[in-house]
Amino acid sequence: MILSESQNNSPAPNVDCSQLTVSFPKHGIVLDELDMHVQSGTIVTLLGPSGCGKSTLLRCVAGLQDATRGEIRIGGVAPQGAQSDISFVFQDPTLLPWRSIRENVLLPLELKRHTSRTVSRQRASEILTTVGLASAHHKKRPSELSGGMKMRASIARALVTDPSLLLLDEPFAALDDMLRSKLNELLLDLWAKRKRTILFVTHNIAESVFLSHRIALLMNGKIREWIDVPFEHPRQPELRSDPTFMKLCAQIASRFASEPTQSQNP
Amino acid sequence: MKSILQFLRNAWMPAVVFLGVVAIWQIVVIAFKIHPIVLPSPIAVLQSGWERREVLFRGAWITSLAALVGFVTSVLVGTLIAILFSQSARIRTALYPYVIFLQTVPIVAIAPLLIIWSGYNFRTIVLVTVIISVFPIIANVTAGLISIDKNLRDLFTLYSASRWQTLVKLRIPAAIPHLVIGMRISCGLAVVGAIIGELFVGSGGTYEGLGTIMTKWQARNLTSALIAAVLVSTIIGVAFFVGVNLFSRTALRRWTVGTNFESEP
Repeated sequence: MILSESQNNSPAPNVDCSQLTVSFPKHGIVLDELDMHVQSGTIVTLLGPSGCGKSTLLRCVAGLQDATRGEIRIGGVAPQGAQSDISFVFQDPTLLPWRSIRENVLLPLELKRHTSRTVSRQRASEILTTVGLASAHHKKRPSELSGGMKMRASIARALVTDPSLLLLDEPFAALDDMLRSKLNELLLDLWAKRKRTILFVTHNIAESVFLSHRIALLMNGKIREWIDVPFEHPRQPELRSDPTFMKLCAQIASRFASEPTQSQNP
Repeated sequence: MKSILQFLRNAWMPAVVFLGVVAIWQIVVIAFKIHPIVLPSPIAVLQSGWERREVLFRGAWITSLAALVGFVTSVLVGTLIAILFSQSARIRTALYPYVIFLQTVPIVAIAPLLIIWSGYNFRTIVLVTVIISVFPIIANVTAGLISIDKNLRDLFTLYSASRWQTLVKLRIPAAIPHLVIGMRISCGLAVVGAIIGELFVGSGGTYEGLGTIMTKWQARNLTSALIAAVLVSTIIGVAFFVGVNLFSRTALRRWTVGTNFESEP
């Protein structure tokens, strides 16, 4: 009942970029006439070394960064400024330290003057439990939680508005491997429930293979190659030790190794 | 209980230093037979202060009141100005030089002007106090309001937060630790401001703050009483500082404790 009230019924959108160029006065060209098509309801990873422009691309899609040239279409329309139907997960948990975990998750609903306070609270608690934070933690402050728990809260905040497009900018980069694997599995579970479009930025090859339907290899501001990941969803943790999985990871690694590495930030 | 022990552990060394200095002072005064008008002994200071305890107490009360009214005004006015500054870089550029002017103008030079405009009264003393103590509030709170973590700003942009929502839900809460830093500097200045104000106003009125009393005692070469008055004004300053820290850890607790500003007690 509560879920359905705040549920977003707009379909998961395609994301298209054409001739997208971003240049900064200090760093030169970061995105170079980039074309990209992301199929609705799929998980796509932008994979590349640091400085390749993957985060900038994600920020453009979110409306946080203006393109110098080119066009972005989300669900077929060019977004005007910040979009209400998009959520973004940052590399840092980016929680407000003076708010409790639950109040942090409530923030997007507050800013959008969403539903009633009681409904919002129940929704926040549900989402927090879904991402694996027991109710004992909901009233704690971020400073009282571990890095992994804070990241779970950050994901809960992104999901509380039930966005049709979820953007994640290296969300698990600062976490240890075990935690990263766990949260990867959580992300897949969450995707399976609503089948939204997910754009995920990482420089971790195994993570990109485990999560996504397709991987875009980004180098020097362009997508060099698309890789279709052949494994069916839902994926089990054991997949990571599958020989084909490891072979694919090795193949991707060799793609980067063979590329003449330019200096990361000219 | 734990915090009291902690306090005692931290306090004993400064206390030893204090007693040592007082002891040396007493010895020096006796050994070199220093004239009491130049430097009275600590015991003489204590005696002199005790004899004038009623005057000192009333003076301390009046000065504290002026300092407190001035300090609270500084905090309110300074915060409002900082909020105005946080809303536009253009406003900041246009007005900040005048705030610095407020900081650099020699208060001693404009105090006579203030007396002409406002009279020999409490209001003038509060005015002097505000002029002296408002700058740290403006500077610190402005810095706090505009130096917001980029990701947090992006988060608010992403949810199309209005200017007002960003101010109330992000900028102001994030600036509260900076406000406390400003208040810690400003509260001491407020006491200084009140006494300076009294030094000027007191000479022409019927006002009896510490500054006024000190002017009178100075005219009568009452060095021991003057030192006692200095001690009392120092105690007021320390009390203000302790008050600000208490305020930070109680009323402002939500924004200061556990936010990388103050650790859990």
